Amino acid sequence: MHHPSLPPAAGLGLRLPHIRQVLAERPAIAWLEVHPENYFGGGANLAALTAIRADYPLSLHGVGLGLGSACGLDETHLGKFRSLIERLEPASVSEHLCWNRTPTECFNDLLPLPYSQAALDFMVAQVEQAQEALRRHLLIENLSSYVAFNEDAIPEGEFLAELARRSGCGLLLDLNNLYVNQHNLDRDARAAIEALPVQAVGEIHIAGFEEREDGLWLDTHGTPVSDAVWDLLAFALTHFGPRPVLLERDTHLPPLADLLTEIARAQTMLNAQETPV
Amino acid sequence: MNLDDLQQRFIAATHDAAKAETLFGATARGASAYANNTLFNRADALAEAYPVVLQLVGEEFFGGMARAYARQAPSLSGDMNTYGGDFPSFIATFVPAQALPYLADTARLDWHCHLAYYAADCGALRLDALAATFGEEQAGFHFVLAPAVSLLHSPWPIASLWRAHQPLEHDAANAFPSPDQGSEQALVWRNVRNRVQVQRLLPAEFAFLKACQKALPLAEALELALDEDMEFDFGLSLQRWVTDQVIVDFQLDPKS
Repeated sequence: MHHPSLPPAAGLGLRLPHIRQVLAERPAIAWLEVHPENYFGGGANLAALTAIRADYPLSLHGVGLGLGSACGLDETHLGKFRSLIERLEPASVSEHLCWNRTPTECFNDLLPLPYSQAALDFMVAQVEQAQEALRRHLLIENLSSYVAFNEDAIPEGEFLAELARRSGCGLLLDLNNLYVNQHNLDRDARAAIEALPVQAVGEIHIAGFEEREDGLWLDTHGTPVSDAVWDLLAFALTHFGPRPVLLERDTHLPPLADLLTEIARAQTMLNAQETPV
Repeated sequence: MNLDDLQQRFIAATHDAAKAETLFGATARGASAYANNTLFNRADALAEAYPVVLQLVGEEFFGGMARAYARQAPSLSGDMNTYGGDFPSFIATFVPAQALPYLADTARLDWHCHLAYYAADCGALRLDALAATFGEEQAGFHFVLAPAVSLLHSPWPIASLWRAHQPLEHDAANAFPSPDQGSEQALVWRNVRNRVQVQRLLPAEFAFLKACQKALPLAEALELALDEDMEFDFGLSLQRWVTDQVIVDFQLDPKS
């Protein structure tokens, strides 16, 4: 079935260890999101995802493009991404406000850009180029960062708002990332949310973090969603209205049933949203 | 500062507290998290790609060896499944692993299984098309192997070692082989159910498939196989390899 867009409901970030169970049991989940890099090439993973995709709206959430790399976009990676988009016709395609490469090395991580005018101009051009190459409108996700640059000149929310306005991309709002940044970098999560253009926000992420020995919070997606992030979700839903909400869990992966319980909580909040008393 | 410079300096700062201070001021302590992420992401990718090596040496040794490799082997792609192709060569020169001389070749087999797992999909050989060609142009074509297929030769019993480390195949027939039991030739492929398979080949089978891989004409491939073993059963082998999607196509050779 072709799904032209993600439903404003709770979805799950599907990871490879759960893919067979989802395929066999078809649990009631409104939509699924995967990292396209796990399905480049062919074989068992792609066959399973192709079967699953028939029953669930699908989002492809890239983690390897490194849009903001000063050395430019990786044509090979773009080509693989585009082939997968053509094959799966996902309801949504997203990537990150980040970079990952120098001319000689790829870091396979989501590295932060300075919030400067020069970085904004560059990101606008990169997002436009990627949207053209992938032939899709992209949602761009705000990053969790462990450092802030001395060069930072634009507040996070304004930077994202400008990026969306100038490139025409949508935004994927990650609430855990805002919360981690609030702790690590003394930023204001609610102010960032309020700075975003309401129409641009096409998806919301929730996840958990862990604390390093020295008190730095690491965005590991390795724990349940924290109470503060649930509060931010309530705040964001009130501000934006119902949106597709996705639970991400990447490390210390629990049984699928635990994740379903967690997304049920997000769905309850969405239901309360849709029928105001 | 232009973005090129800034990104180069960012990477340097993840390894150097003083440089981090210059770039990130009060938030500099977070920079080391990135160096750590890069190292462990690479080591994790190697653990995924080299499961039999991991079982042979254990998690702790593997982690140390993988991080030693990761420190000196840059990743070149945002697709982490492509990382670590020359880890086997590194293992061959990694001094602490010298007690296991078969480890590097076991790693080569792991890597080819990893490549097979993600190799492009392809259709099966059309037997009717083949039959139509057979009568007239038997010697004028060569067989094409699936993208997932690899052929490996080792002085160690690598196929037997691999089979002994598969969870569902660990029975008497697949008991841990003595590393000294001699050389093996191995075939790696992905079957119709998308499972990666490893099988020990006889010298004639290996010679035939190797010839196919080199796009040698069928007549020549047969000659090489029969040189190894006059009893080589071409019909039976072909049937098996077509069913298993080892041989997936044929190409007519230009008339010379």
